[in-house]
Amino acid sequence: MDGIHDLGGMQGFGPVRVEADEPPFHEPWEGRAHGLVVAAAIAVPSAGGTVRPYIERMGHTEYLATSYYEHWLSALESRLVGAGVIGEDELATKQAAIAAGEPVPTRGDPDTATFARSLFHPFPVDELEGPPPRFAVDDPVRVRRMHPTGHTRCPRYVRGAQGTVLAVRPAQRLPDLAVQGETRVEAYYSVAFGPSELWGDDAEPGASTVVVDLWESYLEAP
Amino acid sequence: MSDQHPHAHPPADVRAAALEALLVEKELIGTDTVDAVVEELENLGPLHGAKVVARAWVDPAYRERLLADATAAAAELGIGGIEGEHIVAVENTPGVHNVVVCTLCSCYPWPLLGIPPVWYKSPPYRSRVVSEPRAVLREFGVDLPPDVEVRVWDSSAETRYLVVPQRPTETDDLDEAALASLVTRDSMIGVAVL
Repeated sequence: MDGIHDLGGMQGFGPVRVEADEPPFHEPWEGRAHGLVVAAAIAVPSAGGTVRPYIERMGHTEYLATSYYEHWLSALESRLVGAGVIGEDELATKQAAIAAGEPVPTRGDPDTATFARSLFHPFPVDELEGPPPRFAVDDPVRVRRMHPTGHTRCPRYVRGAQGTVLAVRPAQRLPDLAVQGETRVEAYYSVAFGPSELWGDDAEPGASTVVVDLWESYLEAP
Repeated sequence: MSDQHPHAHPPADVRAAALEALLVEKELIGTDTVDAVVEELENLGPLHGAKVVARAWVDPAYRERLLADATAAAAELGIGGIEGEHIVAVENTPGVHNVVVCTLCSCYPWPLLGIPPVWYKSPPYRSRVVSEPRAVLREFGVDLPPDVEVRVWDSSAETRYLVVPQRPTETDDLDEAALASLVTRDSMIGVAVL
């Protein structure tokens, strides 16, 4: 979806504001939100997978006006309501009760907690079998023109641009289809673009390259 | 939820607590699982990445392994996990300076660097570093000569990138632990030089 999340090359956001000595979480609820997304993905695999498609649909105004972990909360609410795990009314009722002082009950599930911990340490990753890559290192490629309404990982700012394959990465599930429950495994590529190819005469002076990781379906021979 | 009128949401702490309470009451999750994730995330941080970088500086064979397969090289030091299943290390040289971004969301190598800082997740950095990397780097105090190639990596697929900064000069007498203490988070994102 060509939404507000696809920020590469947009103008008008001002300088980068850096906070000194930033903690991992600014408020306890941010940690809970992060933990809930992981816990819910383990508990409800049908509502699992990436939060990205839900964040992309949360609405442009709200996206810009809210913080990173508020995006996660919105995504988790939409995902759990969408999967029928919780009802919209039920959520509103519980929010009112919490706001009125009801505590969050405690529940132990030590095996799942141990499993969750293991995710933050090295674990074996399955290699996926895909068709042989269509492109090779140093091949010129062009990013397809597209305007998808669903989830994609092809940023707008490289579409139509020609680049050069810098690396061929191991095959992975194409996210555009994976979010629809369909599996297509294919290589993705680190594709290098020169600045004038992306920004024309407005490119910033000085030597630079932008490398974007793009699935094979996003690319064509120029 | 996709219309353009912002919903009147309750405060974020209420929203998070309500979700947790509902999932607990339905016996879908344990609060100890959420506790465990929070604790693990708080224990992550750039010290892990710094260990990897310092090892690469002192051990040429490790450096080779890191550049060939960073996921395996990090696992040698017990470092890895989600958002680090496919790590690629990109090395700064006198002619190339690497910098990492995720323009579509906030992809970041958690096992090596921890949770990303707010600026990394925010629109100014994500929008600008691909179109005016030198201007952004100057805001971080890094002013590179025009002939040094700035290579911006947009983490738009499954790979998570670690920048291996150049070893500072006059550090020959430092051991690995002392070297690791010099390696900052920002230098491993590529917005600082050491």
